[in-house]
Amino acid sequence: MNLQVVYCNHQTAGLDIREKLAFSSKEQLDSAYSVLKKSYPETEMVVISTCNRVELYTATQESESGPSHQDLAKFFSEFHQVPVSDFFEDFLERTGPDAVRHLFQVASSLDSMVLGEPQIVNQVKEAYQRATDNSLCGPLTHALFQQAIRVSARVRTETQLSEGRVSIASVAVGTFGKGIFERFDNKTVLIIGAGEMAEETLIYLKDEGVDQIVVVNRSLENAQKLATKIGGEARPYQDLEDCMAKADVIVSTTGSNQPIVDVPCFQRVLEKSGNKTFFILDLGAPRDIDSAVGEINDNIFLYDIDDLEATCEKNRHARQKEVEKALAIIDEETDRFMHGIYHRATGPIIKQLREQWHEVREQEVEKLFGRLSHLDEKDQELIERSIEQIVNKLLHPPLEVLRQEAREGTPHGLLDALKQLFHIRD
Amino acid sequence: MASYLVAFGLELARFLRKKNKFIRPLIFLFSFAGLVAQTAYIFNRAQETQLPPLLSSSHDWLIVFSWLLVSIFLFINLIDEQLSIGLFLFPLVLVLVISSYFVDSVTNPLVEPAIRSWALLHASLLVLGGVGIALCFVISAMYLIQHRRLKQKQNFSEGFHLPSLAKLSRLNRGALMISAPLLTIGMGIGIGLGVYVRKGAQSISFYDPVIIIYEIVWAVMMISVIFILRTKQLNQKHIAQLTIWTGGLLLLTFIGIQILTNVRVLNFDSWHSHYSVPLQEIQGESAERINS
Repeated sequence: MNLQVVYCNHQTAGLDIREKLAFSSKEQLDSAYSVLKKSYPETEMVVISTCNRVELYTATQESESGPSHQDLAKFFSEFHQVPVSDFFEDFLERTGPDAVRHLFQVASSLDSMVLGEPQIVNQVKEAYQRATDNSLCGPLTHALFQQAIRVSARVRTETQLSEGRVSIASVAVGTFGKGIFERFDNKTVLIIGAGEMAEETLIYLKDEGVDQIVVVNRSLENAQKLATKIGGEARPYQDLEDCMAKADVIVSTTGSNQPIVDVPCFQRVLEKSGNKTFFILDLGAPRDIDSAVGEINDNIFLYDIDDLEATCEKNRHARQKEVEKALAIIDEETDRFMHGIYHRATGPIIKQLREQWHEVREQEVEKLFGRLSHLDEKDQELIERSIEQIVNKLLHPPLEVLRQEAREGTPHGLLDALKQLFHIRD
Repeated sequence: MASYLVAFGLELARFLRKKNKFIRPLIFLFSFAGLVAQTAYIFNRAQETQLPPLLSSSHDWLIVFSWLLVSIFLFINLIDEQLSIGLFLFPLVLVLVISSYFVDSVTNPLVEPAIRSWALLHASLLVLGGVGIALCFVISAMYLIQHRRLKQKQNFSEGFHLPSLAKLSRLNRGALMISAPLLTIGMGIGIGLGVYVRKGAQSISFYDPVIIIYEIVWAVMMISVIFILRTKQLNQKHIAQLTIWTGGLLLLTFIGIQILTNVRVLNFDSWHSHYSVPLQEIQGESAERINS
């Protein structure tokens, strides 16, 4: 049996290379599978293609058959029309237990750009499903990917690798916003400026049910553009204080060099709004909102980019502490998987060899008892047991060697020798 | 009590980031075991005294109080397994159970068959109102902790989850709205019962210091409730602080006065503390209960 992965990911290759080697659509991936199937019909294959990685897992029952590292590099080169020399240095290969360990690490999000992010396991599941739909999965890849999904769940349950939010927007909404408001579907969100971070935050807010969005920008045209894109309403900049008074959540991402909202300004807002709760995200750098605004009263919760980043960093640090625990689980699961695979490879041979020898024993014993008809039942039983013990003792050394070899990997040479010596058929 | 102590210890372990998939089921199991034991105890006591648990004695009243809090904890735990309410409720439960050892378990002689239904209603409304106030106290404590975290821009540990400020203030308001009328009606029925009993052979005084203290604390609480209801745009943090103070005072009075009168630190001759019973008898009973 032969397990292999060839890959390039965010750790080994730049985005330009990853983009060139990625399979950007399902159709393109299906077409790649069809080429691979034609070239290597005996090989099981699964491709994982995301923005951070392109990985091709291959598995064959025979060690000699199946594509090599160079063969697969050539396939990528021809399929994507990229010279091999452009990417081969970044195009790594792992085989056997290393390939298994690599997949377990990928599925458990140890190899992700954002450690512990939860999306990767779904991407692995989708990739496995796609390969199955293309009839490219077999017993080895089924076992490997199903185990990878189980390992990912185990790592998630037994460690805190996926806990604590690590992106600015998710911390803003998940850690702080949801601590303030019970629901967001009745809240009005005001976006000041048009920074990218505001859009990312809006994704999380929309997930929570926000649908009343107002955009204010110095340029009404830019405000309208963003409002159209995110499904909000654009308002002129001079309405800023009115809009703030009506809003519950304020997200500010202007490029202003000085704060655009100071304490007197916000006090005017409070006069209009009354004593309501404000959740303010100042995502501008430098700050858009004077930090003293957060001290005006107990119902104003103001967070700037440094506050949010500090929480992200703390969570990242906490996740990092869990890496060793997760790696220990993965090593244990890799060993278990490999033992299962080797046992699967040697099991049938051992079984056949035993059956064959015991068949011979039974035949010879029968012949012997035919000739020695004067023996009583007790003598026959003694002779039968004695011969059985001789066969077992003779079988023990080769089978023990086979088992020992199987602990290190599939003993292809030994298995072939046994097959030839004892005429064992697959 | 041992089960509740273990459950509280496990809640603390969960709070201290000890991630373990068995902690939550264990908390549930121990709390449930404690509740079953407590139910059996209440049942036995009711059979012994031939009175409903709330009527027999202050001891039983406190036991029922804690029993209700544990039931509420188990119910909340089924709805929201993440919520760290056990950290707040178990100390209260433990205080109630421990306090019950120090108050008398002698059957109240004023509960004669003719007024038993009214007395039961009086005690039930007071215990339910008391539970409501205990919940207000817990919710307000949670509010202040959550508010402090959000203001200080901090993250809770993974094992510590509290609801949003908006939800906590809604729940606090709701609990207050329910418990204030219950306490008021319960207290009104109590006064009515006092008037009825005075007409009979019993000689009781309306200057009972325990009753007077209860009434003062109740009045303070009602003033707070009316203030909360009538003031528009009141700062939610101030509501939580007010609830903590008034609720805490009420709970402290409920439990404290009973203990103080029973151990005779206060020499009150009260309807609710059986001063006529010899001290040695009460102490002997307490010792017996602790031993058992």
